[in-house]
Amino acid sequence: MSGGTLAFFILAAFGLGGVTTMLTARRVIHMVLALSLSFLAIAGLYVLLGADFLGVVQIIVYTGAITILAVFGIMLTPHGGLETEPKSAPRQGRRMPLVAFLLAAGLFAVLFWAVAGTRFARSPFASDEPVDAAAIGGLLLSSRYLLPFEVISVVLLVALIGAIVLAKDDASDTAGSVQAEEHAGTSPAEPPTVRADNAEAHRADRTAASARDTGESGQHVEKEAQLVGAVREANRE
Amino acid sequence: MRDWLYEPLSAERFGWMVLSILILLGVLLFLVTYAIYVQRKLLGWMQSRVGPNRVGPYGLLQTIADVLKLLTKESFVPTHADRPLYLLAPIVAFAPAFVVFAVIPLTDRIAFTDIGIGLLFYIGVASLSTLGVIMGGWASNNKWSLIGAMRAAAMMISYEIPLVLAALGVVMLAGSINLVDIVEAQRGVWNVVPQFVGFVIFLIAALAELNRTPFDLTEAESELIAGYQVEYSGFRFAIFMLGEYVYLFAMGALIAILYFGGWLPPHPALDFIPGIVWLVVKTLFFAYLPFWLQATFPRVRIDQLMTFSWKVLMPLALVNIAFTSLVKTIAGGVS
Repeated sequence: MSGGTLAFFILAAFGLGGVTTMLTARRVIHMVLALSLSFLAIAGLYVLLGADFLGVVQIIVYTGAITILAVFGIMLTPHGGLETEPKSAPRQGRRMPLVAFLLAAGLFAVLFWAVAGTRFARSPFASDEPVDAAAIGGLLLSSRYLLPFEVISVVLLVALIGAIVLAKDDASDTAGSVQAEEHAGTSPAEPPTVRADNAEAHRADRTAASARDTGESGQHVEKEAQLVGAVREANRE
Repeated sequence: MRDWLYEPLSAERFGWMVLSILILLGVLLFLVTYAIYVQRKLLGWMQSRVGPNRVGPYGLLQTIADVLKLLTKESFVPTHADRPLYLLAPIVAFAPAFVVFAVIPLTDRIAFTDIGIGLLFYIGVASLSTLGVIMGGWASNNKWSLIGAMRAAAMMISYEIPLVLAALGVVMLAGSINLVDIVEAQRGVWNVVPQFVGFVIFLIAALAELNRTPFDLTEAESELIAGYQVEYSGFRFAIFMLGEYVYLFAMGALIAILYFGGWLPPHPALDFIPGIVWLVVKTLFFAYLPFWLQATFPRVRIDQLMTFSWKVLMPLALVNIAFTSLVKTIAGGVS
């Protein structure tokens, strides 16, 4: 058995393990981190296929950037009580394990038949040697891919500016958003515990703000304190 | 790396891999132990104190005693901590710092692996330690650790951009992102001369990535106690610290390779000294520089930190790239 085969099976186990953990985990943050594990395993598989560059880009973009973005998203959005779902599944779901099994087995059979029946032709551009990153860059800037490349960068620029505009809007009415949070706390749909938590967050807010100088830095600390309140909510069991 | 992937994995080959990893780990543990000693001694001298001088001659065994103390302490898990993440976080924070050594070439012949995209690999893997920090801060269920972790994540993400943009200038000069090629391209003159602006940006961004003073807001013991590490004790705390110091050496080696000619001697007449000695000397100097700065600079505020990264370093790095490409195009057009 070559080292490559061994590495493939280890990576495959990690990838599948990550995905399975993501599906069965109860907390959103565990799901995101499990997903990042399978992203890493996929990056390893790319390297095994000789696509070093793609593998590292996978690590930078997915494991490094997307996962952290998702973690920030989870931490910054209040979702108290939403993560604790009932321990037992709904009755309707429990009654039909056989149907679920048959559906999954059928899907697997169809996919297996399709994959086994396909002849994977080797692309004339494929090479066993790792592709030089400079060659990729040269290809990207050649006349063949230049237009799509430029269009993508414009799209990304639009997204960037859009994000800044949205964030600016948020920053101008911080006080408004705090009020909105309080409203959410008093609305009948929310459990009363959320209100208590909000009050706690506000207290943390004030102590943190008074601990430091006022001014711009105070504002930052205030934001941090608000964040802590939101995360406390999320961390409740 | 590629050669063993496609060859049969014999016990002998596997044994060599494990052995070389253990040797690297041993060397790094030794370096980290004495880096902590040097840091404390240096800070002591700069603040008109003696520094550690009780355990062993000149206090040389102080860190070893400290490590033994840490290892015998109870490894405590807070009651409401997110247990799996809490246990995993130190490992996730340490592993990337260690893995990046795989691509750092010690000389043109001695390297663990010489992959074509070495620099990119370093940057990509190093960014993963942010995840460990966030995990640790979140899982501790303590507001100080969480604030520390959020600051760390925001800072590491913001300063990664000027870091990469500054390194891009070097890549453009060498025409490659392979670290061996980058060093070979500096045979004439070290990159620090034509890329001085890039070097300064890189050094500042590297200090922020390492969470060292003046950017040690994530730990800031006077306001956050110890940031994301506050709930950690014993062995797990030791692993966090180990990761931090190993990353310090990795960053020192990267600065030496990118800007100071790696294993190349300062003058061809000094060629008789083996290249690995030069690389080690340069690496140790850039690993030591942060301690020096630590004793000199006050800590910046979080808003100054963000403003500095986005409004000063990043535009400067972009100008540097534009200027480098301009010079390279003109020089290329003439020749």
